[in-house]
Amino acid sequence: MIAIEGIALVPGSAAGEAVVIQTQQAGGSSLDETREAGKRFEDARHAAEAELRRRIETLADGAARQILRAHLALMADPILLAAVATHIATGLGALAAIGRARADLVARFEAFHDPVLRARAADLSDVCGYLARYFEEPQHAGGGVSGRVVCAEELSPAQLLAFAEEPPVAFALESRAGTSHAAILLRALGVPAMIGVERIVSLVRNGDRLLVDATRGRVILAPGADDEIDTAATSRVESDCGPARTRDGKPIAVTATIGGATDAHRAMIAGADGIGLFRTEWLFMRRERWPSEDEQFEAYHEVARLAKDRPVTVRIMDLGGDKLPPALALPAERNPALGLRGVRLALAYPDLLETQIRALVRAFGRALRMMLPMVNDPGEVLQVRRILDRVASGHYQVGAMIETPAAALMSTELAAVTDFLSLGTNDLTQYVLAADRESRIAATDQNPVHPAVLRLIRLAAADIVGADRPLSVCGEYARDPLVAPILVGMGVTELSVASDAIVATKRLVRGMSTATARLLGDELASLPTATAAADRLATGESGLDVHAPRDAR
Amino acid sequence: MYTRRVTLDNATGLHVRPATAFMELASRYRCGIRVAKGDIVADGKSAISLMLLEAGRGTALTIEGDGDDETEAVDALVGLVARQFADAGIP
Repeated sequence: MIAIEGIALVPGSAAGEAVVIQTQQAGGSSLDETREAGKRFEDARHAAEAELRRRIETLADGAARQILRAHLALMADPILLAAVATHIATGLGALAAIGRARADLVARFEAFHDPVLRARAADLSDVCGYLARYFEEPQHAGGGVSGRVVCAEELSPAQLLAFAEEPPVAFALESRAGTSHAAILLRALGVPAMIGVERIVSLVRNGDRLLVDATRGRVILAPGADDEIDTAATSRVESDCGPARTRDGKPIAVTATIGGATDAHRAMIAGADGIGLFRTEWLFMRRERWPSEDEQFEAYHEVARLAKDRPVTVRIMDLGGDKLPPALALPAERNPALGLRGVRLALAYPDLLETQIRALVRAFGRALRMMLPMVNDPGEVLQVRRILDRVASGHYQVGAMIETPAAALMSTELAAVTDFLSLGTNDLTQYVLAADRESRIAATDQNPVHPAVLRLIRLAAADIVGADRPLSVCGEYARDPLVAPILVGMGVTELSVASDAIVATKRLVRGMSTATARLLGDELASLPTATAAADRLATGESGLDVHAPRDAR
Repeated sequence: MYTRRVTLDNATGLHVRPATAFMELASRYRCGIRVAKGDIVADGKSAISLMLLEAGRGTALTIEGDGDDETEAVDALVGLVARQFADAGIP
């Protein structure tokens, strides 16, 4: 038995066969990695060519066969090979380089005036699709990941979103980026996950038996029966269905952030007061083809059914940035965090948005609570409302995320055109501080809470409370035992957290008092630096009593 | 260097299959092949490059060969375009 220590990101424990997933993300640009990516691309190209040849042989001579033969030729085209090689040379992995090359080429064809030639973008996209499939098909890891333990150096948001429908039993990752987008998605998946598990990828082979014991912060290779029984006792699902009120009697809804039906089920078992954020991205991220209205309806309806009479807030497709759906050939952007994303992207594809809204109205009916990501002002809300009015008559609840500094400053105006608002603290923090949350270099500088972020949140929260609109938090701060009470003190009435944090967050709410939290929030916001705020939080003289909460029920 | 002009008369212009047929024929020759539509120049041995010319029906193309078998190559390619890619089995 070998035990490797690591950091528990999502508590719990589970055992299964290992599936090792090789890193495909933008990595270092050392010569070795570039060479490795180049080799992996060549492997992918040879495999895709062989597969295409096999398919061509099964076809009778005719147009279909000719088209596949043309695709075979395009796969070896010098322009495509040069485009991939250029992206690999900038430090991208093979799959990412294929994705960029695809986006670049498709964008060039889509700029054509001639509609017949413009439609050739689809052929290029298909060809890149064959190449990308080599990396995406789970059979390279020997079947699906269900019932297994995924081991990787790190996983991209797109890779994690692809696990949403059929998650593995646990994750063991080498990277430590606990504040990254990937960490958020891991929490949303809700299965035991450990990060900072050094050298796991080189120590483990596909099919090895592994026990991820995130409760004790260790991964055990080749565990014995005793190890498994020992940990099974500690990994019972916790549940807390009672209401959460602060010590001074303010009711706070503790809701779940989910990515699909699996999470919704887990959240309901844990006792969530509803779904505070249903991310719909995974529906669009895992397919080569855009999902139809009926397919979307099925997925939404399943979540509605599981939630029963508890409210569900659904966020419309929040794509772009680091979430590039394979079915939409989005051009590569130099600065995707500030590019076409969120509601901006949704409004750029009004037909796709309308399809999603139709499916949502069918699935949730009058109970629909639709939330818009990355809003800057009421104009975007009104545009979405117009599409909603076309789809269905009567009033439906629409909310906006406060996750850009503009939205925070426009919160009075946003409150006037919405039914509820939600603070997306992850993006808000990154945009206020101009610090990329995916950047490990910038992330090491990020203290848990910066006075500038607190000042902006306090301003927005006061406007929203003044306009009599409910305000929730659906970022990582919602589950942070030090920061969440401060946000409640500023007027937040709902905390949306991953299902593994429902029980702890309810306990936290019951142990805090809004008046004390408000004073601490004001004090932190008045400090000159993030370090000073972090020190003040760490002293624990807040009267928050977060470490030993009293149950106020 | 040997150059000839030809007009695309097939229904779809330099679409995927015509571009691929052109590239395949051009690749049989040792000389470099360049195809120009006005100022825009494509590599005759790359189907993607040819498709990026956005050469629809009726486009006038200049085919230029540069190398020892240039005359043979350019004449063959002009023939392929003039016969509307019929020898490549494209309708």
